[in-house]
Amino acid sequence: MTGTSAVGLVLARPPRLLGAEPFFMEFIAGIEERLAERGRSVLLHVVADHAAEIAAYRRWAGHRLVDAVILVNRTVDDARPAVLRELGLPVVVAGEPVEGAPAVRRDDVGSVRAALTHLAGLGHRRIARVSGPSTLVHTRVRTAALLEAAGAAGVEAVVVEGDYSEESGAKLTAQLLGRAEAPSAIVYDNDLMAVAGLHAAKELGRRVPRDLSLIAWDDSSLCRLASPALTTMSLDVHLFGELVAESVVRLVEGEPVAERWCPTETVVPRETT
Amino acid sequence: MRERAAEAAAWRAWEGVRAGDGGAGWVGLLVCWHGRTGDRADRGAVSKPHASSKAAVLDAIRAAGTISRVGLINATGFTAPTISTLVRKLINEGLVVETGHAESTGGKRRVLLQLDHASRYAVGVHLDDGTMTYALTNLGGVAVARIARPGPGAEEPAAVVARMAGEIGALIDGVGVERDRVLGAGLVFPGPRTTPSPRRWEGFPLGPALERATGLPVVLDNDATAAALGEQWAGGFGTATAAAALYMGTGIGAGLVINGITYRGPSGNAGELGHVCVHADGPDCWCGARGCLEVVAGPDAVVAAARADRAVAEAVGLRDGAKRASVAGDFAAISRAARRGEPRALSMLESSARYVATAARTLANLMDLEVLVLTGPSFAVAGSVYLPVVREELRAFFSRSAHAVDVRLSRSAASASAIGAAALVLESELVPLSHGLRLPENLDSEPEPAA
Ligand SMILES: [Zn+2]
Repeated sequence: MTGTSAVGLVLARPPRLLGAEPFFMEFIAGIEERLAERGRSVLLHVVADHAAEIAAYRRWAGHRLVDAVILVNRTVDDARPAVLRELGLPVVVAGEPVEGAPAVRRDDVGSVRAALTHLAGLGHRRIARVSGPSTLVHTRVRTAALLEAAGAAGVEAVVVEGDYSEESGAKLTAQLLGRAEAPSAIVYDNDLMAVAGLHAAKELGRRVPRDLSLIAWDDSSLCRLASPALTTMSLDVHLFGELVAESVVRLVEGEPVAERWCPTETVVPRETT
Repeated sequence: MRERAAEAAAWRAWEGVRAGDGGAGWVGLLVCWHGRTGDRADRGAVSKPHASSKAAVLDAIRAAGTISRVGLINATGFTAPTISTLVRKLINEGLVVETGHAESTGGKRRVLLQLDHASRYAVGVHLDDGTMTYALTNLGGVAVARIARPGPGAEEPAAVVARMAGEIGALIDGVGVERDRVLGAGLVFPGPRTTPSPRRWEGFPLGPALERATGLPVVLDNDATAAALGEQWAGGFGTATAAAALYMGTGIGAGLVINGITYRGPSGNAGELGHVCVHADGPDCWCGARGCLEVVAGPDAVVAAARADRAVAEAVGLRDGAKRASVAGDFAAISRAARRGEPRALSMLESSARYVATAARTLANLMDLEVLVLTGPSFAVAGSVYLPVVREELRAFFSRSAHAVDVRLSRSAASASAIGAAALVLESELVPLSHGLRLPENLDSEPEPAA
């Protein structure tokens, strides 16, 4: 490696969430496609937590192994942007912006509203959402948007916190369905939790979508292959990656980089709503 | 065949005894072979002819995830003192750690053992026409780092090796692993050949050259076989006796795992599913035969069909001239268009999928497969189209009254061969197997009693 042609991406996740989920591999494929045109590559590193992520940034800066970093999964008390600033590593943020770094954003508010409108239109009056970790900024944005939109539409909404794993998707779904006032629709913040939730609901004898509607986030092969196939939000993950790569290329080539937005997600109705 | 393998295992164990390796375990190993029954949960690790009893124990821990010493006795057939000695060795070497207790079942609580995933690492390199994909995996075979670089193209072999060594070094530095915890590098590539592309690579000592350049032990293999081993190492085949990874990148191949062991064939080309005939009067294939799966319905054929139809090529966004993508890149673009709902792209993929499914059924019938995992970059993007078609076709599996074939999409389809190449290192360095029957030099000598 010449040391000047890689862009770093660290994924911090608990070790039991093995490897990288389908979402990130598709995201990286999109980044790689655009970067390859400029002879650049993505160095993906999977670590256990933010401390290890920060250690990786220090190592990369010290060895000059990357010439930019793509920051993902912004958290509420995020120590990483300050470290990256201190190290002088150029940054593009995929998600909520950081001061001084260009961002490629997803319209979480618009997406949540689209999901709620879809469910309210089908007559659902009590819905639940199995969220990602509440330490993530975009989880909080989605939660606030959901509660606001539900209030406006006269829909009762509850949010329970998962961790993106299949186990949490299954467990929380079973808990929600065991409540005295169980929801008639559940929205999940990713694909793995939704697929596991669908299995859990079926095991509890719920007929989907007759008794229960489900919507997954992050449309991946898993959602299409589920039986019944999961209704999802339409984010084009590959395009998201391409947009991020375009910002990275401009940044490292010293050109001005504007904030960009992914197209607002729409509902892709399949067989679970 | 089983008898032969058992015999081979016994001989290897005997050699191990003579070499002073795992001496106390050899009787246990023989017992395990004769006494082996069908406890499915344990089968993955035990039915292999390991080169040493320590390897057998380490493999049993790997296969189980977490397991107690009592569990190891049951899984391997070794005696309690043997297990105790070998586990202590593995803990001293830092490969295994104690991790909490099993839930009490009335008796005393059992300490659980598992691999210390961060104790060792392995590098995997997949050398394909357009891309070299590098992965660094931990002891559990899980990728902790990955990078894709341009393929060798017209570069001279020596220059490619130098570049590879630099890129491997940067990957190791990038993760911050000490060199002495990296067990080696696996290098895998497609096709019925021992070096990645003909002519220029002919006679080039790729393995030794990369060993010299990196200072790491290097293992070479076929990319589909590596993908299968990676799946096996990560637990994707469960306890299946006969499993296969159907690999689709630029070409198509299959890796076979029989009784937990990859089956390579004498030349390393077993499982060349891309060159199984699916059309007796079909077009000529580059391999010299005709009607092969690859030439009829492989990614190359799909891309050619899409490029031949200007409207499709435009709708999909296939680019020409200097910006023209590799076959894999074009195939990915067609797959994404199909996912977006482009009907002609979808129907081209579905037509390819029917042939792939036919070949998959042939493979399943030949090998009496229990599990078939679809993997490789082309299935990573198009798996949602191919999987249902293959599943449907395998309803007609010959032995369906005995068992179904479980068809799945790999969890690491996009980098399967690079991850598998690293698993190759983990296997050869940590749980080596004895291959085939090897007779000891002096057949007439009396076995020495075990210590
Ligand atoms: Zn052929």
